[in-house]
Amino acid sequence: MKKIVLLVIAAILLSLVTASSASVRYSYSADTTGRMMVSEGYRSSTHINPIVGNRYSLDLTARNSRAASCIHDFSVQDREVNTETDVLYLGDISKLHGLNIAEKSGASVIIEKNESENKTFVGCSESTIGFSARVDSLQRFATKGWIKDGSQTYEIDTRGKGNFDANLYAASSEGEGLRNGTGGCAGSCNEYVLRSTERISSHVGGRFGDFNFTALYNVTPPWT
Amino acid sequence: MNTRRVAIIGAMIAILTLISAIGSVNADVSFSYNFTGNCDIKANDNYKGEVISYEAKAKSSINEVQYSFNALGTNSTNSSLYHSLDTVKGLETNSIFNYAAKGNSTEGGVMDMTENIGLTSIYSGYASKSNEASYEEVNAYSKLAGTNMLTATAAKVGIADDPVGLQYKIYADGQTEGAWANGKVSAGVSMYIANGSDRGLWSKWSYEEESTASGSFEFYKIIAYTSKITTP
Repeated sequence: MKKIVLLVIAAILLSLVTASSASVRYSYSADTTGRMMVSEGYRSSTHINPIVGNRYSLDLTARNSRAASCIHDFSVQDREVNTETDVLYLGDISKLHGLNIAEKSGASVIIEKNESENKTFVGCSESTIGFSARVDSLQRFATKGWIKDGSQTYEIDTRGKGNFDANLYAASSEGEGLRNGTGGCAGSCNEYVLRSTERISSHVGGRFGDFNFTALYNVTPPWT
Repeated sequence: MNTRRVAIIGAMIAILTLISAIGSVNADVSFSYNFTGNCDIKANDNYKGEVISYEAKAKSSINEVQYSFNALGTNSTNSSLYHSLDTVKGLETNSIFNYAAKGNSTEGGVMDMTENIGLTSIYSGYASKSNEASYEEVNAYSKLAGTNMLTATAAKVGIADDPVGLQYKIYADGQTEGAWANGKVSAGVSMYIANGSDRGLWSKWSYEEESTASGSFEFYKIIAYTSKITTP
């Protein structure tokens, strides 16, 4: 019976908590010749104008591996998220199961700012980028992610055998808040007019074979 | 204010109307992916952007861009799919689908690809007489299916550019150099333009065209539509 080994080496956690933001940084490296599991999730949101949200998650389960490793860096500072992930997996072909991996990140922002005494600009944007795979082998999986103030980028370079899916969803809208009277409008507009909307989705995937996949995703709200 | 004269490039008929270029540039959303392998390939990308403008209540405009891309390849051998999309100014996309079925037969595998891009603009109150309005709609598309094909497409739409326009290019050939594609391809465009006022419709113009090839072929086509700005 094969031993199940789970090693999570070098975990550094620095947390500087203030009333408005936190600074978090950690990294780890794990190697195994059996089963390995990684599960982490991050979510943050501000509650003042602008309302900014960040999301990130990584889930990994490796079974019956002849060799598997996961090297991961994660940091948050001033609401800016940076991630780097490297995963390798070589399965035992005489047994079932393999590697399941899913990495997902998201950004959102809602902003309202004065343009004149009786008019404000209103904008909102949200996006999600994700990659998931169920493979017999993963010779390369290297990703870099960045999230800040409603913008995000995700870069991936992977090669393996099995199934994979990569997804992007982004939506944004802009509008004007108007006040029929005098004085500032922010927070007290009595009429909103839609100026523009935008929605984009992308899915690409491979099934039942060898694949080599590289991609770069970028989302920047229109008013930044 | 800019005054716009609509002219259809590539057609024998030119239609004049008065509209205006306004609206903001949309978000910068972009992606590009490159996928090679010996497996089933599936991709589906969609975009929809809309810019709405109201000026002095008597003037309004709606500009909309729609785009969809679907690619499917089963049992592929040494195949690849590249697709990029950028929305910095309107919409710009490029794709390359290089597909070969195992054994070069439908039993081994088959590819299918469709692409659609459309532009719709509605203007009212921007002509010399404020009670005039115009409507223009352009759609370009391509459909491909086969067992051995290298196809490349490029699409571009600008709704805040000068001139406003839509361009679509498609090229299809065999997977290896000098070889022809095996399958079927069709690509076409449809346009509809109407002008009127509160006294009724006073002009309309429509145009449809499609080219098709099947069997073994090499296919190349360019579609362009432009709304040209002139100084009043």
